[in-house]
Amino acid sequence: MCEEEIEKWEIEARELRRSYANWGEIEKLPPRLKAAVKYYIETGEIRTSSKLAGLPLVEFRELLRRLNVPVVS
Amino acid sequence: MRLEGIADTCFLVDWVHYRNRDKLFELFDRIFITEGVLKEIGHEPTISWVSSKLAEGKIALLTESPSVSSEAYTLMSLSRGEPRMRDLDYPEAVCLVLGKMLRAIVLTENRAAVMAPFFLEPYSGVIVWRSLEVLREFILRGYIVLEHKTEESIRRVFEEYMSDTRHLFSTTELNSVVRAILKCVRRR
Repeated sequence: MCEEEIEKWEIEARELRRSYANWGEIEKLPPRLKAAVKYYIETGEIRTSSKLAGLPLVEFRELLRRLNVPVVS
Repeated sequence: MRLEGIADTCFLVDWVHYRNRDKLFELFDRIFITEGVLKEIGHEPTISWVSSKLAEGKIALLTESPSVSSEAYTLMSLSRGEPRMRDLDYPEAVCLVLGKMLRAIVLTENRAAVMAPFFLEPYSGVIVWRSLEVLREFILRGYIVLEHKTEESIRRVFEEYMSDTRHLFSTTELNSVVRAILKCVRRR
């Protein structure tokens, strides 16, 4: 695993999250949740995002599922 | 060969949605979870699934001792000092520490945990599998039987997982795993 591979993977993962996300539904979320979901889409950091949202990790994962935001690995 | 794993929350909360989730317990003799993970998964249907497997003895609960906790903080500090790595969070650090101690395969989707054996020398011997690698093992060890020995049949296994869980695999990594599986199954 080299730096180039990691960067390539990060870019692909971000693009997948952006392209699958239901942006119409994301825009309707309360500000805190919206910010947290957008943070997740950009970074993929689920633990920090769930803290930003003020939700337990598992509930935040279910929110992502409802918004069609994929986890990428 | 006896196979044991230690799973984190992110792995379990996706896996619970997968149609073949119980095959996990055919591949692994036992899967450990920590008390921290058990607290985090207080959500249906994950908690029902995990509690039934605890009752069957397929999942075993581990208590984090002070020495494990201390080692996990050391590991987090190591990850922060490695610029190529994402920062490790505490729950994943605990899984890596216990994975190393128990020689159990760490089951996680956390990118930092996946990177740890590559960049942190004391953890270079720890095996970390994501669902991508678990599915690969399902096919290679015959827990999922392919309809045909074709790329399409192999891809279908991964597509079912992605569709059930809304968890995607990197195209590059998926292609590489599919090619490797195809090579193995055609040799048989």
